[in-house]
Amino acid sequence: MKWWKVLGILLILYSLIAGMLVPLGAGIIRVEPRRAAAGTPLVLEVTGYNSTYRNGDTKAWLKYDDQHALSPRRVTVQNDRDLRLDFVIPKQHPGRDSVNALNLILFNPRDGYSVLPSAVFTVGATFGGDISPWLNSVEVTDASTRFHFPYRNILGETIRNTYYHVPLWMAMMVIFAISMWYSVGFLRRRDPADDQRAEAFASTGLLFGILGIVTGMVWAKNTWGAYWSFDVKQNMAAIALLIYAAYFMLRSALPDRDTAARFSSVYNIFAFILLIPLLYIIPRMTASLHPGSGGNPAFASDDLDSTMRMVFYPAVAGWILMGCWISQLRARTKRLYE
Amino acid sequence: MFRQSLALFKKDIHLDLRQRFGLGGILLYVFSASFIIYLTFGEMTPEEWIVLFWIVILFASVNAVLKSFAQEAKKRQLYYYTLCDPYAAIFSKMLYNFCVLVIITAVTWSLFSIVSPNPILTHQYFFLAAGLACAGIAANFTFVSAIAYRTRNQSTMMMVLSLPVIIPLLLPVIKISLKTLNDVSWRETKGDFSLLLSIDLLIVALIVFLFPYIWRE
Repeated sequence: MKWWKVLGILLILYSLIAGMLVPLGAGIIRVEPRRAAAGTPLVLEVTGYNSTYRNGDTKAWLKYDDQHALSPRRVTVQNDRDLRLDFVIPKQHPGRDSVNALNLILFNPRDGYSVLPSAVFTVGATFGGDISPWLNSVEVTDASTRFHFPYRNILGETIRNTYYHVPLWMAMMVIFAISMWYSVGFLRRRDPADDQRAEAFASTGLLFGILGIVTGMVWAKNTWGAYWSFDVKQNMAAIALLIYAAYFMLRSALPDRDTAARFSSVYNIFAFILLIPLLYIIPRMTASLHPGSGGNPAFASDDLDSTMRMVFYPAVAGWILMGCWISQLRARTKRLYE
Repeated sequence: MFRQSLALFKKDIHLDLRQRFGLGGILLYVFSASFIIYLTFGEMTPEEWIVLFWIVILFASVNAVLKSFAQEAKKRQLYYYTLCDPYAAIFSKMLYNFCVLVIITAVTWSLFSIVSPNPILTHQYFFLAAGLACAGIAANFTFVSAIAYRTRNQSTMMMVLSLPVIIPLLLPVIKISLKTLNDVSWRETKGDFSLLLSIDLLIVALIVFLFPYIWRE
């Protein structure tokens, strides 16, 4: 038993436990009504998620832009999840549009802040005149006292899938790269053990790829609305799996062991290198729902906050170590059979 | 090596001229495919035109390239192996398949233009993309056929191995082709062309690195 195997198990266990048990931060899941006429009072019923409104001083704003926001006349806390905000929407708005979308921002010292973009649409606004009711500054600090993962609209609790879907796919790429490395090694030294390792790593990579695509499909069902929406990233991922399925077909279709090893090593290298434009260049040039496509990188500082990094990076390392272990076992059993 | 490639290239042409079913069969395939498309679709929309055009080319070229290694007897392959440089062998095949693909593309192009009115506006970019695509497809398929000819069921394996690896090349080609339906400028297509060219070069570089390992018996 080597230390890195224990480390792999511990890291995966840690990511499963921490990823599932750490609560989500406060968020806003429902606001009623969504529409208000300018110049009339507005009673806003807010339903929060994982919020602690009874905890005291909850502040709220309807934000127009960075300089202009509306404060409620009264905040009525009904319980930890429900809040009633009494606004008066002024007739005069700071901008020229007659229809405006306002963002709702809530803050209390225990939850930190939560935002619902375009929470309320106001209609019938006029421009010019007195805009003094809008001159409130939004005062929030990011000092939540609870340890939590961020609440993101649409994602909700599914944000935890970041610790399973993304690390599986990253581990798959690392494992395929190791497989290619052994294939190069086989072509150089002609040691059959290298080819067995290449095959074992490729099969583990394929397993991780299937798991990654399945976890991605479950996630897509909950956030995009369908298991498979023919998004460019999904299609490219499916093609990547096809390539490795073809690799195993090739192995079984070649007559003797030496030719099989040589030809499939060559195909493994060829396919892995062509996988890179397929997975990392083409999706970036097309519009896509997936983060990391259409020019937007997936790992902007906004996407992964520090609490998520504490689980995410160990999960990546854990799955890579676990993949290496599985592949090593497979290569050994294969050598025993032969 | 250059002289060897040229000699092998000439030999391939002679072989094909002698047995007419080679190239003739492929052209007949293109002809019947275009005809079936005409019967099922009638007049095509511009997008259908482009996509079907590339699909016909793709399947015709799989069949055309498949025979480049398979048509020769095993023993003759061994004879070439003793005679010539591996690069001469692969480059002559690639050059030959490139010429075949250009012919196939030209024939498909004219057949499609007859069957349904040609929707393309900026021809120069379309032909540039088609040329780069032919080079990439020829290189890629020649290499894959060199792998596939040793397997038990060649034609299935050729499809299984080549279609997934051709997609990185095919997507930018179809993207450029769809852009040429409008009046596009060089600036709008420059990015796609550079991607296409770099994938072509990547394929050739991989072949230069990997082919000697397949060639050795």
